[in-house]
Amino acid sequence: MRVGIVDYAPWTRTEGGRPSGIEVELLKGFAEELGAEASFFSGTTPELLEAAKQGEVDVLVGGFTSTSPGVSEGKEAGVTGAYLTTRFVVGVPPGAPAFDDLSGREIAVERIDGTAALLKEEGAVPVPVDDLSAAEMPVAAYPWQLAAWGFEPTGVELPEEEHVMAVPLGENGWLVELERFLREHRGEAEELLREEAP
Amino acid sequence: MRRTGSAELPPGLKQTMTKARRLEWLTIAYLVSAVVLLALVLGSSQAMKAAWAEDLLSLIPPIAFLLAARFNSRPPTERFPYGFHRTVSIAYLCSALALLVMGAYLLVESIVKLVTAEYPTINSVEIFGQTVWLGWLMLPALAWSGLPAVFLGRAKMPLAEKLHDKVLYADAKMNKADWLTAGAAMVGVVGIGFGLWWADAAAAALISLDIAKDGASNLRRTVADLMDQAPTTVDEDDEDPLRGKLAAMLRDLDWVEEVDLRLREEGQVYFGEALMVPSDETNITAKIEDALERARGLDWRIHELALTPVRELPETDERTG
Repeated sequence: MRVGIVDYAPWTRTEGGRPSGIEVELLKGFAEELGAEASFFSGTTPELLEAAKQGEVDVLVGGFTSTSPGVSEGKEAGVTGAYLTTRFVVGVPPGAPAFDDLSGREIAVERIDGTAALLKEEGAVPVPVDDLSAAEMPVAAYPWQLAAWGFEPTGVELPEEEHVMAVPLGENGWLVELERFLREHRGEAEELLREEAP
Repeated sequence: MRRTGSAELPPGLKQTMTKARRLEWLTIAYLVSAVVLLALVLGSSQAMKAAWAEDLLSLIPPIAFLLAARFNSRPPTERFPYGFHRTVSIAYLCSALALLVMGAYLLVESIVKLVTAEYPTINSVEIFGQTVWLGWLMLPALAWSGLPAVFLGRAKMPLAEKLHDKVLYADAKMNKADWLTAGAAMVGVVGIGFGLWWADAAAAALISLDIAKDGASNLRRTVADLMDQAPTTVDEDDEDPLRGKLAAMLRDLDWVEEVDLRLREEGQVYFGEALMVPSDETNITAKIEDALERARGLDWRIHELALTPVRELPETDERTG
């Protein structure tokens, strides 16, 4: 089983030539179930979409969601249903005042990505920081992360993100097989996320 | 001039009309259920999209019929001295155009998909803990969108003929042919299931062609009606024999020498005028009134007729009296 992988922690990591991350672990399990060996090829989304079109890779992962440009439209590759739904909430450092309106506020994020875009849509200003848990301003993170870092949840939630994987177009049987596996391992995906994003 | 009253249909047909109305309401309810069901399992199949569009568009004729049934028999007003019969034709023109444009659009889209070899990809869904390919769920939905329609169409067809209603007729005809659409879409979906990527787009092209064909033939008919074509029978484009019968009846009156009759359709009923060359002009008003009475007695569809006595018929006319 050939897996195209776009680096996007914590879902996929390619550093040091050894792929890891939630989606990598899931697909290793899938390959095992099929009695196959998963081999990983890292690249950019356009490169790997092209490879999928040529039938050079069987699965494409990279923290894609149901709104990821290029993938989610289902024009270049077939997209699985959501195998995991996540949602960021906004929390404030201990002692800082809570709020319920994001407009004009600076919110710390790990990087400028889909989450940052969601924040911008709500009128907030995303600020990338190296370590969210040490940020001295409001942060967007998973609820359990806020709890672990001692941040107070504000009750402001970002829209849900539906995580998906991609397969070459028209591979219907293969797509259904992958979807079935992912459905059966939904709990595992959630556990992996909590491990990867403690 | 007699003004159009509300009692347009003879008593015997009132019941038929009530039945037709009820069937059209049933059709709307049924089509809404089919449209919702298909939308739930739409996926990314082009054939499904075409079948869905067709069901959505088939809502227009029953709605046009019911609207027409309401407005049709409104008495004429100062502003609309000929009554409101044309509302049907106008509603129908719009629906025919919608069918034609939608059919053409879907046809082009399907052909593009065939040419660019776009592989349809259909997901699975989870039902009672089981992963089921959405394609298999499309089949019963398509069956529901195709089979009951046939029975509705069969039930409406004879009513349309009795009521001389072309909207109802075209609607019944489309319903009757609906199983073809559903069948084609089912073949397309099963084709995808067996790895034939082109089956989907090919089925979609076929369905779009059928939609466009319905649109084109309906358009031809309504335009002809709006052009005041001579009345035709509902089922075929043949000239309605009633015109000949009426002309013959007028000509056979003992005071009439020659007749030039023209009729046009407005909705279900006919309007027209006849030029008559009398052989005996005495008491002409009473004679004309008697002729009018006889004409109306001939058939309920003869709705408004103007009879004009003239010395001679216009010569350059190709119509035959």
